[in-house]
Amino acid sequence: MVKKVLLIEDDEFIRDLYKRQLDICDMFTYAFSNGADGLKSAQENQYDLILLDIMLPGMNGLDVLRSLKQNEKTKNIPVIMVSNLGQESVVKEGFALGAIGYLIKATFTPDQIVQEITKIFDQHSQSAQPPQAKG
Amino acid sequence: MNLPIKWFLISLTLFFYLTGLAAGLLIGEFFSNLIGAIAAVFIMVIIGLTSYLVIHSTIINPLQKLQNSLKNIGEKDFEVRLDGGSQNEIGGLFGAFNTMVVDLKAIIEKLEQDKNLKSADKDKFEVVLSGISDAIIAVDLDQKIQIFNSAAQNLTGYSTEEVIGHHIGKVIRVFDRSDELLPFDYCPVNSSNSEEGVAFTKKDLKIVGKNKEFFANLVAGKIKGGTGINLGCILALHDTSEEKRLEEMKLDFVSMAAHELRTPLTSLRGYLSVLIKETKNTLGADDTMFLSRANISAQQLSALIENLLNVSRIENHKLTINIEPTDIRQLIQQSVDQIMERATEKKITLEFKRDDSPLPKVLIDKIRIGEVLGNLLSNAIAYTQDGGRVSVWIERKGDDVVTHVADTGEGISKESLQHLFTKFFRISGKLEQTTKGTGLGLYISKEIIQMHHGEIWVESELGKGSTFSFSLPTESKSLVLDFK
Ligand SMILES: Nc1ncnc2c1ncn2[C@@H]1O[C@H](COP(=O)(O)OP(=O)(O)OP(=O)(O)O)[C@@H](O)[C@H]1O
Ligand SMILES: [Mg+2]
Repeated sequence: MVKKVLLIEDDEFIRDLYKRQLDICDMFTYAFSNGADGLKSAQENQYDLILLDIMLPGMNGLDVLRSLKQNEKTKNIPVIMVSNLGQESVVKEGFALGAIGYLIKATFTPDQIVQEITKIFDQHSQSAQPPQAKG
Repeated sequence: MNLPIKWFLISLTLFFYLTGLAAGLLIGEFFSNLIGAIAAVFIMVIIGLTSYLVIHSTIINPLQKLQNSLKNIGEKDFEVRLDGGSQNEIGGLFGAFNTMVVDLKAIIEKLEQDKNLKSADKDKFEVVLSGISDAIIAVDLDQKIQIFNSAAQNLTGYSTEEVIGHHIGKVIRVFDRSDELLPFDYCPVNSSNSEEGVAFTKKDLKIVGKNKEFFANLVAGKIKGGTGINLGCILALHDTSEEKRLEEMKLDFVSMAAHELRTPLTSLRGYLSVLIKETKNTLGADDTMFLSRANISAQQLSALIENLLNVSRIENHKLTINIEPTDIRQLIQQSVDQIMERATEKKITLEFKRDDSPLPKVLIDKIRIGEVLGNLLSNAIAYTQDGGRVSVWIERKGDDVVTHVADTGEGISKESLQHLFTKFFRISGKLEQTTKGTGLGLYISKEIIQMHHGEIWVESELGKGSTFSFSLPTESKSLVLDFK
């Protein structure tokens, strides 16, 4: 099944790299450069996953995460934070707000990022919906 | 003329008048006629007058002089002298009085001088104390505050009057990060009078005063012979809040600069890796090599940036770890895969000897331990000659898992071994000259492992190779560990 992914990342090149790579791996990606546009799109579409940069200009990643979690329509969409090394305190706050995982941009190549995303996403959906008894 | 003397005079005159009257009456009796009576009155007046004059000049005048002089002395005029005293008692009195005034003058002058000296000393002391920009607090043998200079007032928010005589522990609180220090530690007093000098010194303490806190370096000295003047210990607090603020600004700047460097570098590395993958089968050997070298350099550059950032964080106690139960095998595999390209480039055989026996998860920050693995692996590859071998394996030791990274490289001499984990240390060998390095990798690795309550060590022999090892706690140990 094709997953629909929302990517919010301000750097154009990184946005392009991730979108490319996600699209190759059977994910359908919408990418936005700022929080407000991303939030709007989250309202209008049914996403399976949100990738959210923490350092965003204007409305920062945590603000976006907070709004997502406060809204009925979007509060159950899993969110993975994308950050740089050394932002542990922000990452912790993100987890407290309900993010399911985080990635460090510099540590992974784009294809590794996709692997990580798939892994975190799979682990999450397994624990969120226990396998149904076969009948 | 004041009242008592007037009354004295009146009563004396009255006395002589009565005497004269008595004499007149006696004479009047004798003559028993008018002339007699007149003569009696006359005699009486004469005697009264004479006696008044005599008394006035011999007793009243000198007494009055004496009284005036005493008044002068009362007004601190010590230049008065009494003269004109005859050979009688009054004269003697005047002599004694003059000597007394001279002595008195000398004594008062001496006292005055002493007082001036003392207050000059005291002023000097106070001027010096208040001129010192560090807070100076001296306590007595019961640790009660005796001296509290103006810098101490400014920093703590207390006035001197509020604290004099109060126990130091009730006035300020001293914290070393999260631990509170007690007066017993930072303000030791001497009862024996034997030792003196610096008794306690510590940097970057947080001092909490009256609704006010600041950071300071503290130096405490015991006072020798303090029992005599009842002083036990003197504290000097050097305010470092400003320095700290600058430090933080510097750190912010470093983080900001690093962020700005990281973002373009991340996309550079991203595009390179995509390019390498997509052109794997279409490019010639040279072109593949160029791409690979560009990629390796980009990786080195980002490792360097991360290293510098990490050191800056370590030194500022800003390095934190996010502990989660982690499959160490998976993490090692990832690190090995990531560096495989560099090994291949140097024709070094890199292998992770893994078995699949059950293994408890380790409690680590996988990003940080990933950095440690990256450091050890890149060292093993960098400091091993082309064609060498690097192997990685793990081993269970009680509640720990130990990871080993061994190489067949140049090895490390005994002298160098002891400096290996210190900042900026590099051996000046052949391979070090051809690889770019900052000497930070092992220092950072050690700090990270220690934050995980683990240990890191090395066994090496010159010419034969080195084995770096580190231990990490498993889940079963989690109960006794306190990760900060
Ligand atoms: N496996 C090894 N074999 C031989 N020497 C080593 C090995 N690992 C480290 N060294 C020596 O220890 C020094 C310090 O290593 P460290 O990783 O701290 O710094 P570096 O590799 O020089 O620079 P960087 O900060 O980029 O890692 C190296 O310069 C090298 O001389
Ligand atoms: Mg190194």
